[in-house]
Amino acid sequence: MTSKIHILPEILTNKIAAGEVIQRPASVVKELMENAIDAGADKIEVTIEQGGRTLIQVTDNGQGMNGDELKLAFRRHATSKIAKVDDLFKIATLGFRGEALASIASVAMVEAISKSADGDDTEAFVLKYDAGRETTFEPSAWPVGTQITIKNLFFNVPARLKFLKGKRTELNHILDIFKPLALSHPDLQFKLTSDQKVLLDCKPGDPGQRIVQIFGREYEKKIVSVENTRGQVKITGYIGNLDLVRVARGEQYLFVNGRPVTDRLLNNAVYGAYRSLIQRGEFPFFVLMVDLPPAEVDVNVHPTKSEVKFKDEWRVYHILKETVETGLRETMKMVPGLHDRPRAQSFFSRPEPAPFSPDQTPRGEYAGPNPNPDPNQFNLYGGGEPGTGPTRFPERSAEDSELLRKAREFSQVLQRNPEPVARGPERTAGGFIWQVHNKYILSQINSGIAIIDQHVAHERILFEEAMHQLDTRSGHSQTLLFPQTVEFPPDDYNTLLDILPDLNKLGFQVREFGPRTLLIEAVPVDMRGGAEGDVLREIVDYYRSNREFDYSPGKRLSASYACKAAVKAGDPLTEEEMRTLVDRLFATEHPFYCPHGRPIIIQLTIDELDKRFERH
Amino acid sequence: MQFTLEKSALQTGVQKIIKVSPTRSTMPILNHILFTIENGRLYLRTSDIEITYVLEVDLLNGEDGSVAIPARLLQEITNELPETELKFSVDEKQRISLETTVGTYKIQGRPGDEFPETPELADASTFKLPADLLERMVDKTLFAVGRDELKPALMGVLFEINKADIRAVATDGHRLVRFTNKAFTNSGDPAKVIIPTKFLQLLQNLLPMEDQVEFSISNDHVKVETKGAKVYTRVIDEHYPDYTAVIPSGNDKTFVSNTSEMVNTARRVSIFSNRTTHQLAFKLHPGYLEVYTEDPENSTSAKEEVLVEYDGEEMTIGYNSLYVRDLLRNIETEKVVFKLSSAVGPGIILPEKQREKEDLLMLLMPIRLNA
Repeated sequence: MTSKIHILPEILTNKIAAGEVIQRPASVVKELMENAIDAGADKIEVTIEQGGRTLIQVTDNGQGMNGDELKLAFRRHATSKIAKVDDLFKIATLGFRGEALASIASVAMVEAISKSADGDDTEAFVLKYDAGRETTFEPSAWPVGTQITIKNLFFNVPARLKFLKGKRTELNHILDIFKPLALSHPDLQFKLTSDQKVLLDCKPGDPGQRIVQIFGREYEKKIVSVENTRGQVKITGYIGNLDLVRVARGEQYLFVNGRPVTDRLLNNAVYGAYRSLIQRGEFPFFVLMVDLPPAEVDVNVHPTKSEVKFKDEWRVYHILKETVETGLRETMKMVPGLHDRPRAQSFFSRPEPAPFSPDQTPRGEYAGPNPNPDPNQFNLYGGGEPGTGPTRFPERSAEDSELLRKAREFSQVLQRNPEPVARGPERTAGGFIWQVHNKYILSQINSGIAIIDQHVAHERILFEEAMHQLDTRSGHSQTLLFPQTVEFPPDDYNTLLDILPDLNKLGFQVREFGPRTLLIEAVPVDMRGGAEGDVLREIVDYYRSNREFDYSPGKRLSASYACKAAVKAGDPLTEEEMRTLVDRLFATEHPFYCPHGRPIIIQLTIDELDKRFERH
Repeated sequence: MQFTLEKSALQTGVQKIIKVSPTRSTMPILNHILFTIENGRLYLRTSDIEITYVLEVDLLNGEDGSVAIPARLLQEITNELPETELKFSVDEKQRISLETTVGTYKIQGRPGDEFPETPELADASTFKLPADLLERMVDKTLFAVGRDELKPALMGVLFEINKADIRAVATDGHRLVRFTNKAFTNSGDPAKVIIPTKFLQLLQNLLPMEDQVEFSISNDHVKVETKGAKVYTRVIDEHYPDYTAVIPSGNDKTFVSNTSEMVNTARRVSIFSNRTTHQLAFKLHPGYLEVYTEDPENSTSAKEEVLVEYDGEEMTIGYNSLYVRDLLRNIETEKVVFKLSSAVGPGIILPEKQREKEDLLMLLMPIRLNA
């Protein structure tokens, strides 16, 4: 009588494991590339035929294996990467489970050839497997390193084979594996060939260069490096500016200790930093590396190792968010600067004396030509005399010069094909600024024309001021000659009572005045006119209806206030008002996008105009 | 229809009334000047619907009838013509032929009856007013009117015509001017009306200021008439806020200062104030006033001291510098009087000495300074 329960033969267990680890050609590529990287190779070539269905070949110049090692490598749970349980908690290699080769060998025809770099064992060996059975093992000729060739994947697993998609789809999956590995190891050389065509050839370089190699030249001007260290957590990488925001996911790369991972929480940290700049359903570009001691992170959560567990995930979350926020602040300021670097001045170079800079110039002494030309600001006049443009916000000069340095570096390193300097007619005073349809502000800048939406521009200014005032309680109030009593429906009234202290911080002076009635005694100095009661009503409406926003109540209130108190489309503005508005806009942290993610400024460059007019 | 007149008479008339006709309008007829001859007298008329201006112009000869002639064309040709007689001939299709000593010009006109009627003033109360008084009332108040379309009542000057005085009040909700003349007497009924800002601006520029104007007020219109000219406007049919209730009586912190010194100080210091909030702070000490401002956003600040007559306790109060300058500009006496109560209550600003039979009072609401 045979036992009903028996141990499965290894060939079968490998096949079962293959079902988990090897789902498609891309899985094979992943395992083989990781092995190559772990083997210390500095040159890795991947060759694909038919999307990996007929051929996957990975060649490396790593340390290689001798004959015994090669044979052992195809046994299950055979690995060089860990030796004891303790090692599992400080894993520094990409692979470690010892499942890959055995699994692959069970579902394909495999040919492995390797030569070890160490010892006297100078002979190379070739080993062949056919559907899990060893067919050949013999000495061969090969330089140091390993080449593994997989043919006819899943030929013995018809169910898998049937579920493979077209060769383009499978190739895309392979690219999804190849790109992150190439991104996380910019010091190694990677080459991907598909059907005899070289798709990617990445020479060793720095992380920024690697991004350009993979995504193309246009990325060069649109990414900014970020770096931040907090304790043992270090974050480096690049984030894309708003040109690289896409409506589909896909260009978000996160690495933890060099391992590509998907982590919703950490992705959300990045999106959170972009929050006020992008809309729901939009995804920014980023390549970010999180490095922390191996003991702080558990990578053995998932067979494909694409998920990790942190000891303290919220700490990593906040560090990451802070890093991106800091980086973004600079990207946003740099966007226009890249186009009009040559003459850096205030947005409006009015011929008025430069205000003295308290930390640089003794009182009463003219500061002379602006010592810190600020490329972050548009220059409305093509030329203009140097030195006529005051540095705005001199109290920020230290920060600005740091920014300036980075901006210059950024533009010099990345802007390899310098754009010709677009110069408008010489202007020394006045300058161009128009209001169009009482809605848009139109202005000449060095590189062409800037069009500013007056409402969202003011909204951005008020939003940031309101946020600041909530912190500092510094909103000033214009008291009213005729205080207004306003009656509210009960639910609105309750909401209002909740936010009353914050409203008062913004500069409203509002107090309870009988049942469901408030008395408005003063309004923020900055508030554009309007019936005070209506403004308050609209703020409450807006505040309540935007609850689903992830905004903190303070942010929501600030956004509500900014939206309702800002100048509207249709409000005529005087020239002085326009200039003040634009100057203040450029003093904000995010002058290009409103709190809801709508653009504030559109630039029409001379190049674009020339193109439209077919002036080549 | 035919008529003849002197070029200079037409030119002067057109220049005056063309200011009413709108530069852009959805009603093309409003870009015309209506010519009407009644009983041998020529009247020109322009309108933007709200305001209508009727001006009599000397006619050499002509027959009764009416025609609307494009306003800009008339203005331009009368400006270019030498002194000459102008002979207009209009056919039944409103084709106009203008004959002069230097040549003949053809213009396409429109039928006169397309032009909006002049408003009827039913049950109007009418009174006479010295032209210089009307001018002064407008001058003293117009700067303080509101510009906010959501508060239409404040977008004009309130005129109160009583038995023994006439009063003009303007406010934008942050400041207020009340001007009263007690030399005025009126035998008719008392009346109150809010007159739109645009009309009063026109009055300043347009009216041939004779020694007397005739003022007529009906429910919905006001008419101001002088020799040869009538200007009509629709009134603002809104409830004016009760300004008498907000004029404080207990302001006991009084200081007196030299007007031009205060103006100059306010002008200099406000250069350094925030360009949006324009705020100034007044810190009152016995014997002197500190006027200062700070704009952390631009790292600017300024401080001046002005000698004042004051012996009360110290206090600090914030104001919008634009308002302060507007109000001080309106003070004609060498010294100005401020009467304050607290840092949040309305302040009263007065000339040191009122003109005879006149009372000018200005109110200014402070800015509450936080942080």
